[in-house]
Amino acid sequence: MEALLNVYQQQRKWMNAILGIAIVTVFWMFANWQVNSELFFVGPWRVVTYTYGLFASGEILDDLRISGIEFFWGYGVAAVAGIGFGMVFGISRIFREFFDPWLSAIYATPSVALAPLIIIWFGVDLTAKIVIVLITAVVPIVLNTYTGVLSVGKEFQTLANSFCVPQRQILYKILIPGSLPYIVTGLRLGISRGIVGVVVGEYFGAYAGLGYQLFKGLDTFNMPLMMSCAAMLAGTGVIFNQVILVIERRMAPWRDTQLQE
Amino acid sequence: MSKIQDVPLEETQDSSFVASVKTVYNRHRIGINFCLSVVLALLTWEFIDFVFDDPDFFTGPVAVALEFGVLIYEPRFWENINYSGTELIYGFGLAMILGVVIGAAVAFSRTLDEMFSPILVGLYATPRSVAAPLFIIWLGLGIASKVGVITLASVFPVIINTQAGIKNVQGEFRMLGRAFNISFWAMLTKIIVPGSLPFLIAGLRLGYSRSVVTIMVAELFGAEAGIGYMIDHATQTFHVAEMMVGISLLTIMGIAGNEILKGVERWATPYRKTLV
Amino acid sequence: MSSSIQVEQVHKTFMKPTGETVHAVGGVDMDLRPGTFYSFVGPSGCGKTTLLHMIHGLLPPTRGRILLDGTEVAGPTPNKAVVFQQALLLPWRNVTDNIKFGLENDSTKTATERLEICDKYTQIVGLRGFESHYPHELSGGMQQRVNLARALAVDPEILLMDEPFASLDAQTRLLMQEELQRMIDWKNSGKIVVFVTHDIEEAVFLSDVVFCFSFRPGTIMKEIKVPFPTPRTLRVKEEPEFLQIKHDIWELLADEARKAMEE
Ligand SMILES: Nc1ncnc2c1ncn2[C@@H]1O[C@H](COP(=O)(O)OP(=O)(O)O)[C@@H](O)[C@H]1O
Ligand SMILES: [Mg+2]
Repeated sequence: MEALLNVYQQQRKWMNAILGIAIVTVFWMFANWQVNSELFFVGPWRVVTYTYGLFASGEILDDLRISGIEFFWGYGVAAVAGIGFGMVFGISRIFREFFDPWLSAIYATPSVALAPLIIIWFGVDLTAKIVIVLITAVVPIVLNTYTGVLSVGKEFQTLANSFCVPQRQILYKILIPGSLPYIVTGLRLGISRGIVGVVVGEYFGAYAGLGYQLFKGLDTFNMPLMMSCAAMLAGTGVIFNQVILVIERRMAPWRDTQLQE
Repeated sequence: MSKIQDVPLEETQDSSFVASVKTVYNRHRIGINFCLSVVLALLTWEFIDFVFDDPDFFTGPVAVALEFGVLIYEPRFWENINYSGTELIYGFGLAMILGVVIGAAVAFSRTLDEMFSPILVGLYATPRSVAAPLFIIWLGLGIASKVGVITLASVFPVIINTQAGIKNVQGEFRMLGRAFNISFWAMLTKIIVPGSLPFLIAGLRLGYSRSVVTIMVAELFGAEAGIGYMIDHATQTFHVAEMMVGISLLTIMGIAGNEILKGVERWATPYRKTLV
Repeated sequence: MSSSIQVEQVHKTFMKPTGETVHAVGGVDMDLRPGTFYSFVGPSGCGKTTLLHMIHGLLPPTRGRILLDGTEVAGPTPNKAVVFQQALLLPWRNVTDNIKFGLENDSTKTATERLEICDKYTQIVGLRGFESHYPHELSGGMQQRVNLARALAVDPEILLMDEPFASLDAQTRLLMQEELQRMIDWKNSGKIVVFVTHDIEEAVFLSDVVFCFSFRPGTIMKEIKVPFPTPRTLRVKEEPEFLQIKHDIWELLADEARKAMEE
């Protein structure tokens, strides 16, 4: 008994994490048992087997590919453009003062609301969906990069000046590394927004994609399909988030603490 | 760091005309640039409309304002606003309450923290509004399902920030409280609440912006009324001006709430500079 | 390699956005000769840092001018270096890379030469073994030594130091005072060293010339020559003449310090 307690004390972080997941799973199973209708609710095990079935039969692969393309292009362009514009806003005083009111407006604007307009402008094909992902994902990236650049203290610029660092080197010697934690936060926040963008984009006349399948599930009252799609979308968010965190830890070993977003 | 600017005296005492214009501009540059920026954006917007000249494709600010003038006489329009407003108030209100309670719970209890923080952090990274169709099946097409999705979408930033805020003060200032031997109640009211307030408000602002986004997403998946519903309906009928009115309404909701929260932040934490 | 600096009737006035002005430096004249160690002592807030930054070219004087070898100082140049009051280390660079910061802009040196120089100064400031540590892993005193090494590494003709030892503990501080003389060797290399401090003993111990500043607007009240030969050992501090100089400066500054406190 004492030995068991000891093990728990030493590994309590992990054990508690596992315990937490177990509690949620049991609760979920209990709810499923209570509801007991696949029209309304599905247990965790059923979600796993259903998802496996989708992969095994290969019917989901095309949807994954389409949604993947939309996400990668949209998010990729959002990352590059977002960091670029954020830097410019942060560095140039004129730009900053000129666009600052718009940046706070953009922060507060529900950018997915623009999705239907994008559809009207770009049609229902892939481009429109990529643009929707782009506009939803780019907002936190721009804003966080911008905040990051501003957060790099003026004293570091003075330092660079005093050692005669050429103006254009200040960008990559001071501003980019100094704002990196914020940029990473922006990139992380952009992921889940981009995924919402994928789903909303596919609402407007798609023929494939995870979002499309989600709607199909809603129209056909196929609860397992909906839960499975939602789980896959959520899982994608978690995985990409972790990937970014790992890259950050590699690239930025000087950071001892995580920034709160 | 400091707000103090390094302006040599001579520059400000120069009395030539150009210099005095410059001085006026410098003194009010933020306001002037703001106005210029708004005017320029509206003009650009109108100009693009002028170039396309196709009301089924693009409408300028004037057309949107006119459309707005027409819509305000329709009871349906006010119903939509009322519907979305109700969703927002209930959804975000619930998220606020749940967020603070859960956040405080995981901040104060180490066991709860270790059990549920990994799950909370994981869920924070997920696109939670995609659960909207599930809620429609569970709670129907009415307001309840929207409130559910909005709460789900916006509760996590509140939880995570509340937790971070409380932990932040606990680490730094609990020793101070202990050293002065203050009661638990004093600890709570004098140290924990004021110390974690800036984090909490930052979390509320993040959560609020999620709420407004989620109005749109949730209503897309099926609704009886609402601004998102109105935008969706206008899209099906290619009524661009009405869409833009809807989008503007959501934007106004977003900006208004954000400004209110910023105001609360300034009022509650006057010693801090505003967080973005 | 021997430059000289003339400071002629230099004033500096800051203006706050509220329109309120702060007259920080009020008409300073000085003539700085190569191979000399100068100290600025004075109550805090009297404009020492401001003057130092103006000599480096980080700030322009409001009135008057500062000449380096007869030409007006227009901005920082590689032959001058500052040791800042706050360590100002880049958090994303380890010790070696922080020391390298100024060297990187010297295109006459190859990468290996730079590394060798960094290595040498890491040794000199006693940070062997900490090369790959990041600033947040160092104590305040160690950070300050990196700050010092960063400036020394560019081997400047004019070395400007702004209270570099302020955050060191008393023992390390004494050792560093002795060490500093060996590290810089200004007599042989013909460097000008300007050392800002509020510690009178430190100023007298290190300097050939001590400038005593009045309270704001900072002006030079007195210029005191310290006769002991350099490099000195800590034993100098016990000599009667040393104590006398120290006492004289204290007398001079006490009133000014009181004004600063009352503010
Ligand atoms: N950038 C600035 N803007 C406005 N006032 C300043 C600025 N820098 C310094 N001052 C003011 O000038 C005075 C002298 O400052 P400083 O040179 O830092 O003093 P010291 O280094 O002697 O302590 C102080 O009163 C300070 O508040
Ligand atoms: Mg100073």
